[in-house]
Amino acid sequence: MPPMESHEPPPLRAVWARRLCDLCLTCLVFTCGWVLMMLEMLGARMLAPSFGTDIQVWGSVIGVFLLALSLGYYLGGRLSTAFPKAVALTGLLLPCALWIGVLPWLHRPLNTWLFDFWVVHRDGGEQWGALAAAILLFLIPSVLLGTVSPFAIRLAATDVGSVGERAGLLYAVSTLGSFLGCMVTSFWLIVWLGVDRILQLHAVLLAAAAVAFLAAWHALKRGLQP
Amino acid sequence: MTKWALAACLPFCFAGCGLRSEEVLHERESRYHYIRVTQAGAERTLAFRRAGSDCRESVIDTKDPLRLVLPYTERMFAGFLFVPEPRDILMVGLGGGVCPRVMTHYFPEARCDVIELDPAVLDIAKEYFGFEEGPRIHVTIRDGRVGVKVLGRKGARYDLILLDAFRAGYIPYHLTTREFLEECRQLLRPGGVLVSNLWPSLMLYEYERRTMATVFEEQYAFGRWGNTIVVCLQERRGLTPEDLLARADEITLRRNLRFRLVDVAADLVPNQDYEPGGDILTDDFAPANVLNSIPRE
Repeated sequence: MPPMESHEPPPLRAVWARRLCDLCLTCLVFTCGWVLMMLEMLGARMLAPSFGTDIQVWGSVIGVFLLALSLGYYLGGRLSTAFPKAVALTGLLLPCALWIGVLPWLHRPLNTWLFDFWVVHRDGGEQWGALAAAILLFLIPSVLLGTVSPFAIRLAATDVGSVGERAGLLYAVSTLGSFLGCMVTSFWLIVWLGVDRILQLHAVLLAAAAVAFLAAWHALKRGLQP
Repeated sequence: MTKWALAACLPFCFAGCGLRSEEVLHERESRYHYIRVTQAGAERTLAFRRAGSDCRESVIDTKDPLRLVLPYTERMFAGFLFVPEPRDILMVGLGGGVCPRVMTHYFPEARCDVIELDPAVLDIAKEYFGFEEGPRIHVTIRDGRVGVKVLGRKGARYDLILLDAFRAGYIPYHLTTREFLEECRQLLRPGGVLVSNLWPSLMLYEYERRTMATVFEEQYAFGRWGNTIVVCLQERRGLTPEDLLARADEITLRRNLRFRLVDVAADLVPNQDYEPGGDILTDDFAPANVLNSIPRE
């Protein structure tokens, strides 16, 4: 990306390309925010058949997601410094989509196995089973989703003066996506589709968003070249 | 005219207030519920809500503890029409402990295991509702689904399973699904039955009945108003209403029942009272509380 010179106005084409790049990033963080909360809302549903619906089950799911975001923010920040390319972001999101797509086949056998191993044979409390299941099922995809925000800020940043504004916008859009993902999943999708179908749908959505983002980003970057 | 009508109604209003004057014996916020124990006359009530109609979970008559005050508790005895000599009973959801206490009174040879989520409910059943654990009644504090799964893995078997963990206003959805009913079915001895307390005026009822139909061979529903008690059988028996009445008579005599089991048997819902085609509830798809807020046409 060519540095923008402050003493002469950038060409109109570059301004528009820049705005479209921002739009691509906002769409991507919106989708990732949405998918994250969709997964979190379904998380407790996936654990309930083996571990119940106690507040400890909910606490485990929410706690694991927060821990994952913390890790994801850190790792995303580090990676964005080492490798500030859009392709890296897509490379983080495709395994995440794959994981979410495989979850429908994964969560029942894993929960049943954990239940037998821990609750039945060791007489352990089911809340610890729920926590272990939440870590095994949700930590990795939510770490990967957590890397998106710092990465997107790095890609959006053009100069130090505007970085706060861009970061603020991306956080706002990402969290708006989370809000809508949360509401739509719990109010409508759960009534229409069922857990496994919702997961598959979002795996496809996330993969498509990651690939579309990369394609659009490269097209715009080519457009920016003089 | 209106004034006179009002004046005429006044004494009845006061009479109503007099009847409803209740004393709060105990009130507390537990981990899962807001628990309220009240006494009005000889009737002592357990409620899981601060206020609102139809929130009575358990009611006992303190002067006559064997009297089944809430009509649905009599209907919960419908399972005995199919299993007149039960050895092992499992109850999911304790409430005031009326069913386990009265059932083991009339069927003294039976053992009763109870799974209850909230330890505070057990304390209150003991303190205010004359419930006692003992060699024949054993309570496990656990989520119903987890409890049933553990019992299944340990090879426990029952003749009668009673599901009553669905309180007005909130349905634990993981206790409504096909997978849960299958786990219950695996706990049943041959000839055993599952008895479930349902609320027929809401959409959830249709879904629950259809789900039961996918797991069990035959269902008998009792109670044409108020709660409907559904008895699910593993194998088809094809009992007629007359057979059920004869069995009710026989059990009433043999067991010296203090209530009319014949009336329960006579309250058999005659035909299939739900739409057989349509979605069922599974662990994957169970919008139980949404369905529980939609009235049936």
